[in-house]
Amino acid sequence: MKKPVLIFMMTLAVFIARAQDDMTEIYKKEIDHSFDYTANGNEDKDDYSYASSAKEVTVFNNLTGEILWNKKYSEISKELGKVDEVIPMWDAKVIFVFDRKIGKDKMACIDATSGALLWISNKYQDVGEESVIYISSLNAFAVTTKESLTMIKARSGEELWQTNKFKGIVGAYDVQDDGSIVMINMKATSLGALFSGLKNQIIRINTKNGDIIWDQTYRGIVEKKLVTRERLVSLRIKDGNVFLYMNGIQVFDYANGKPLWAAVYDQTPEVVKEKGGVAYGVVAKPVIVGDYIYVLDLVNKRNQYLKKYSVKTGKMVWQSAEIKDAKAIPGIYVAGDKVILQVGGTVEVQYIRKTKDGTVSGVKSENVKPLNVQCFNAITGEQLWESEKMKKGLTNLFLSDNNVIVCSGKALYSMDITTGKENYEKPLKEDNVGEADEIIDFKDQVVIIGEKGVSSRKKSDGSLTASSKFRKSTPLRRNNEVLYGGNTLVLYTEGSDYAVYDLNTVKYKRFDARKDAKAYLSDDGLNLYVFESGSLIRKSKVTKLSAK
Amino acid sequence: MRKLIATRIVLILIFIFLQSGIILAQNKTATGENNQAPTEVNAQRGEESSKATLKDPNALSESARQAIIEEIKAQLATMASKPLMQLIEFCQKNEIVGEFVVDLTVEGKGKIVTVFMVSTPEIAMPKKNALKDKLTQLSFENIKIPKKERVKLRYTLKF
Repeated sequence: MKKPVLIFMMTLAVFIARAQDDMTEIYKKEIDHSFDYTANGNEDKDDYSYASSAKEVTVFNNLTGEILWNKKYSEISKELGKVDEVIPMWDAKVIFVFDRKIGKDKMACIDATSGALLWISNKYQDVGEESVIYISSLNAFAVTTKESLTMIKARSGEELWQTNKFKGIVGAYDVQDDGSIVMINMKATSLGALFSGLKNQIIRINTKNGDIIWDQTYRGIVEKKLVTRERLVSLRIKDGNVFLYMNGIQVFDYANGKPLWAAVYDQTPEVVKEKGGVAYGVVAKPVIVGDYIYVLDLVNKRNQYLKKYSVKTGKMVWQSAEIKDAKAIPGIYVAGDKVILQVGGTVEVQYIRKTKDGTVSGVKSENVKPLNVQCFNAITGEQLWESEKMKKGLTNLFLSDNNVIVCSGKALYSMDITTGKENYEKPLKEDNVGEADEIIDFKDQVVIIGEKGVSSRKKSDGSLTASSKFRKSTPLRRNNEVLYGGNTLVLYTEGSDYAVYDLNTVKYKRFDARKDAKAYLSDDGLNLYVFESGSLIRKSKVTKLSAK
Repeated sequence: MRKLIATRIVLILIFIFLQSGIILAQNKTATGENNQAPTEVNAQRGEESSKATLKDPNALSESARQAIIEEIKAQLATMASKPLMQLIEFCQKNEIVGEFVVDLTVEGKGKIVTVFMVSTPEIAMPKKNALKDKLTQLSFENIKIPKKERVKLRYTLKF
């Protein structure tokens, strides 16, 4: 074939392929300024999004793309210069902006629908997103500073109450329908706060008047992830108990704050050799099923046990035999009268290290060995079986009916939960999506998120049903979840190219955005919002795309 | 040079002193000096609860509580103490006028720890906030409230 014809044919093929795959544009809006801060509200509830630079902000309607307002911060308030942080408060329909100057921080509350200044104050120093909690029943914000906790009316800035009995940043909290908030404090990372000798507090407060209902001490130090700064703590209130998950679990009586019982270990074990790196997800979070809780107890590097406690009494029901040589136990799964432990496997590693070219930071996955799957009798704690089939790798696993579905990265396995007997082993080479990073349970399928795309296989026999190769990419997560609207997931590349997969067909539509673009998928998985900041020669823009 | 070494030694000693203070504070927290920290227990929750109902010998009796409330109200009525006189001056200077119903929670030697503005007159919001700030800095004289105890009272301030 002659060369020009060949080039024409190839171009046509690429064009046809691209035309089939491209996402449909719903609207595209140019924005007159570059932006560093973006946020996308939920389409059902919060009908706006914003794009903001340090000096100017634009708010637009999600449904139509209509620009609701655009203002320079100096127009909103003469007291605002360059902003250093922008925080959306969707329920309150306000945007908080912070103009930070050491000891002279200004915090402004702006009506998100009109751009009007609601109030501005320089009273609240060192306040960040984690220090502001919206209490919808009062239409007010609880703002914590180093010295106190203040309840502020959202629209007027009027301070309803202030207490000096709670100090420090909020580590975790849970708001209850009875008007109470239970919260723990945490130390700031700055050296000054370290030397303040801040007391660990878990406290229940009446949000209406600031009354301290009880004040207790919790154990341990709230850790933050090295790069992403997520806190490794959560707090839940259920059936009259306050559950504080932090390197294990601590349980308090909701009524009077009395410590009931705890199963805690000192700190996350060091399992990776990555220079300047710390591993996360090494120890599984306790699992509550009915009246019982299953917890890992890491006495030390050698002595590790699975324990079952009664949630109501705190009494230990059983302790498993020693889980020997495990360096990481990232998963506990309970189904009926069986408890499955994932020993070893993929953990998250975050690192910051100095190189010749400067400081480098990042997030990656690493496989921690040894690798095996163990099954215990949930009634007695007796070990029923152990499988070391996936000795070379283990991404994750899930339980489905009477089977344990496990992925080694290169192969998919199904094992009978009762006996540990292998139902099948299927190599993933024909999936053509690179090595698997993660598997997810989807209807009667196992969805395999590979390094370069997505495939699906039947849970029943492991046969390949569909596969679509993309590029080297990572799934887009919201609250650590990859599934949107139950059927959709998004992969994105380092160059900000997006592929939105419909998991029913495992086909995707794509959008190649500018490098460093920011994208959000709507909760229902139907629309992708792409924010592309511009420069002197390229306009900034926001594009809404249909993933259908 | 000697001066430099001496300065460094002093700094190191200060650092060690502060660190030991923190460790001590953390140990106190871990052992639950003031508040019982949760421990891994095998005890029945019922047993724990029954312990909780035992009366604390240092708890404030109702009559003692009332006496403290009366003392605070008397001080607020006369506005004779230095901090309260400063409060009046502050309100005059900032033109804060009207009736303010407030809930005050007091602990220790009369220090206000929580202020709840129950009702306020129609004045500018920054003035209300400024008054609340001033109130949180107040303390009363001749008050002694046992540790872990707090006393709450409602009072109508008229400026």
